[in-house]
Amino acid sequence: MKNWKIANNIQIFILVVLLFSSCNFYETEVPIDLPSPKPKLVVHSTFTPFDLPALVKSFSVSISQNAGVFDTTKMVPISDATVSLFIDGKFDQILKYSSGSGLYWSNFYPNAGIEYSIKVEKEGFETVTTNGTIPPKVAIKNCELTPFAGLNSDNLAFSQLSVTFDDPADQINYYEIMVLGYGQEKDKYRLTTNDKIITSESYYPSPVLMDADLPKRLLFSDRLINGKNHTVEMTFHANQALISGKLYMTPNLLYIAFRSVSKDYYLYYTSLLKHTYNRRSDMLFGIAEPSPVYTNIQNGYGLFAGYAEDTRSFWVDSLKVR
Amino acid sequence: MKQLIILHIICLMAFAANAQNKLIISGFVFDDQTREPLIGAHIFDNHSRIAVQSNEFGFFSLSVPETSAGNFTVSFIGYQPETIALNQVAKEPKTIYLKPGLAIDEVEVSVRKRVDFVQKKEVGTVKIDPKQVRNMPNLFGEVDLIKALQLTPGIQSGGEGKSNLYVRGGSPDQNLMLLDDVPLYYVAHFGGFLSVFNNDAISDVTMIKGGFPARYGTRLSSVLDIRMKNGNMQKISGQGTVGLLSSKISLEGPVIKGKSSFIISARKNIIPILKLADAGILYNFYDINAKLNYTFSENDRIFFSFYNGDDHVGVRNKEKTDKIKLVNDKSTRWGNLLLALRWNHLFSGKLFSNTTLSFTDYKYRNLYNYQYQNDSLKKETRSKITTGIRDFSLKSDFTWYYSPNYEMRFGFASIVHSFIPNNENYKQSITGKASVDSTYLSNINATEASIYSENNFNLKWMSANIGVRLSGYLLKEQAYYSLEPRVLLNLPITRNLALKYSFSKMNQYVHLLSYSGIGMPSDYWMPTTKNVLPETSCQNSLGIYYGFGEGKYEVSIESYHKTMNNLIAFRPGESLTGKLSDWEQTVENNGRGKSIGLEFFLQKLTGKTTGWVGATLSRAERTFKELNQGKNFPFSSDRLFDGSLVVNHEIRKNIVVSATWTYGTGYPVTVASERYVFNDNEYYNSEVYVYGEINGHRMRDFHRLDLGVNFTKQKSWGERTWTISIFNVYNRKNPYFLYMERETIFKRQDQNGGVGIKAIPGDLHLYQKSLFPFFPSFAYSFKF
Repeated sequence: MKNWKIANNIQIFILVVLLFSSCNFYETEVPIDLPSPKPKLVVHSTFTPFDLPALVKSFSVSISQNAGVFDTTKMVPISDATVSLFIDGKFDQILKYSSGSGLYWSNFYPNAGIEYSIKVEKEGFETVTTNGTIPPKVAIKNCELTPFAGLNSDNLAFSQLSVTFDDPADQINYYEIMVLGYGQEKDKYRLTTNDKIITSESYYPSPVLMDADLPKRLLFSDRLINGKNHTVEMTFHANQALISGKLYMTPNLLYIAFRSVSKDYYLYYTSLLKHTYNRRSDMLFGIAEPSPVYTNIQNGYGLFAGYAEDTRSFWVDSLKVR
Repeated sequence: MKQLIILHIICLMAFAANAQNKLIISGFVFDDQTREPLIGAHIFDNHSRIAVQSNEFGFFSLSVPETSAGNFTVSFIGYQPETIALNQVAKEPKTIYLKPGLAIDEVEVSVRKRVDFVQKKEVGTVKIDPKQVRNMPNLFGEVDLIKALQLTPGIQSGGEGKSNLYVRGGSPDQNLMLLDDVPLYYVAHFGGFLSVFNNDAISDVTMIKGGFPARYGTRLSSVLDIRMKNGNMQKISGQGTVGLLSSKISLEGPVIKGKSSFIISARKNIIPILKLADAGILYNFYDINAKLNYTFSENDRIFFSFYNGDDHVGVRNKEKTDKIKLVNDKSTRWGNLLLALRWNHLFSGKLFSNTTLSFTDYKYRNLYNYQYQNDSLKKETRSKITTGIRDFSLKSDFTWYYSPNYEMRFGFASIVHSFIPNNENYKQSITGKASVDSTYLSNINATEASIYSENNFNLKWMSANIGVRLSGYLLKEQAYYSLEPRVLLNLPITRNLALKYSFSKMNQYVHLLSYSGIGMPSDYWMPTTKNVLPETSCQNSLGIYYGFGEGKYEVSIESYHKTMNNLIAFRPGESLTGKLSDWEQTVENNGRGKSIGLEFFLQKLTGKTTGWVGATLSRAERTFKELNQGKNFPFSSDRLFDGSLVVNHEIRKNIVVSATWTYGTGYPVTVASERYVFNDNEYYNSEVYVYGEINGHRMRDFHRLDLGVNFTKQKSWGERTWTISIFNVYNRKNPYFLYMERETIFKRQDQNGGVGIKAIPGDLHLYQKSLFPFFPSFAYSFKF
């Protein structure tokens, strides 16, 4: 018995000492030589019909380029590319470059059901082409906000939101939900949900994944709800402040954006979320498989896709929580 | 098929004449003190020079000429040989008890040489002695036989601290891990730092990497056949260990002396390491092995085996005040349950059978429990996601000791698989709202069956095991079957030198879908379907085996060539989540694998110094149409060179020192080669990495020295041993994994009314994470 206790005590002591004193052992920088990649254009544009609050520009395209992964050159927009716009296959115009925004833009307003294509040319790069459409808008049938729905595990207040809609039955639909706040600064909230149509998406972090940053956009398809009326429930951290030991929810204007998005949009952003989570897991555990980001840009990278949006807004008053 | 039946008949006729006028000596060989069967004991007729070995239950059958006079000798390493006069032998099976001892004499050496080089047909087979494993240096005081196997040629771990087995370029799911003849699907605790096999409960370990006899099937790359102890038939005894990570205790003894015995071993972590390190995460694991056996007569014995083990990782937050009650539990559990009932029956001195009815169950569960309650609101959410696999199996194996030169093994097996890719149960109740209670069951049932026949020939100039296995699989209306020929040839060139060849065709009807490829508890076991075909492999191996130093040393050089087809992998970016009904669309199923290698293995088996030197030169690659642009890429365990040196030395009777040194060239990794940044004008800046060739980069070479010493002292109540181990003696920073991280630069900047700090992204760097530095550990163990 005595020997057991001695063994146990010695081992606890050594384990504690080693665990806390060995942190610097673990990380070593590794020099690596990689060849320069083939230059490729990076295109990004998400477009939507104009009659929405001016959160986004109606039609604009950003053009940049790739670089070696360890390249320290600052990534700047490309300003001298030729960006041609085609509408339903017919040439429409060359987009103008704005040095102020770093974007190529046009003052036309896209609509649903029309195919938009662009061709980007720049010397030294392979020409890239892409196309996309705006899906039909799916309206919010009902939207309810509970500004204070309880306290979470960190004793912080959270809000609860439900969005109800009718999914059209005759096609495959993809959706996105975001909650934006206009209190002290514009921001998107991180959203959490137990709704299976979202938690069954491969990008959505498992409930057990410790220290996961929850997504700022909930993307899902209608695979599990095709043609049905459905309500998505989610929660998010409310704006709040701790003053003299008391917790208050602070006044805030919330915008709920419910988007019907194209398949390219859905594939891009879900793969981007997975890519980001895997990179984080890679750092922590080194076990994540490289997860490529989807692109619909031929000979390049990025996204060119449309969406249609319905919104609701709520004003949240100040409230003492605890 | 017809040709095989004709071959069987020819074999029987050819050897029939030899069977005339024979005296059959059969029986069991046991340890005199514990009555444990001695597997692979040598039984040698000193007159005819015929020798055989005992099987996995200790049974042997030896045919000698009726006119034979003299005696026969029974021997086993570490035991005193027993010589028995033939005229003492009765017609009924004889039970022989060998006393432990270190006597090695010419008889024993001679017997071993004769058996090993004339009759031993095994190719690509490694046997590990659990007693030898106990003396090896270890981490956290944990001796582990999987770690010992990873030190032998042709077997990789896939990285530091892992319990995976990558055997000759195969993946972890291609290994058939048998515990008392029953498969286990996931065999790692604590993230792979140790396996589920409790060394104290194990009596025999055989690893087959190639040259698979026909009685083995269902996996492509290896068979790890582990036998549990039966339990001391003579007296109550036990042993235990207090280690840095876990403690264990074993108790065994007779239920009815000489007729029935039991053994029970349990192991559990005693220090919640992650909680101790204030990580806020609770981690526990345990395992229990138990076995009960009963001898009805010399002809009938039954065994009941049990294994249960579980790992549990969890985070729990609980808060209760006057106004609020909050519970937020997240946990993950994984583990195995195994039950087996076996019946040994002796039809005669020539025909032995073993029938096993078994159940094995592997489950991985994610559990989430959230409760919030205040004066006006009560909210409760419970979620449980389960993935796993469950098998019910019935198998029967027969050994017919037809004549001294011919032995036939045959049998059948049937398995009902129940695949559980992703069962979900979700409950939610909120004050004032309708409750939700939904269950989704994803169970898929399939049946697998097989029959086999092995023909063992022992001629003066050659011995061979030629067999065939017919396996079949049925899922709904989709059926597959396959004929799997097996050939093992042994050509003795001299008394000490033999050339061996083997050919094996294998089929595998269960697939492991893995995100990381390194074998995680959360990986999915999936069935063969109409679109996902059975995986197949063909392996040829050729080796030279040489024994010298009067049987103390054995050296072998063996080459192998293995091809695999119909391998599956997730398509890039795909996962199984939410796509169970069409999971086949998420995988690439046309994968091919190829591995070649040359293995060198020198063992010293007896004496005060024992151990081995192993080295492997190898290449393993994969090809998938939609991965890596269809080009070959190195498999995750591909390693050009891998070598190990293992030494155990008895300084004095009670002090044993041990050392292991391993060296391996770097494992491959996939590294991002380019990046891009975009601004989607919604305040969402993103940096995206683009990955280069799959496994196109190599981590640093791996090497590590571990030392250990065991101090044993006899006490009035038994024996105690202090074990001191030093892991990574020269503090080598071996790569565990690579990752990229961008540094953050903090800059002062003037803000309205003051000075602030702004964080801006700096350069990107590639880092290597290492796991274990110089690490001493202690363990205290005892036996009574």
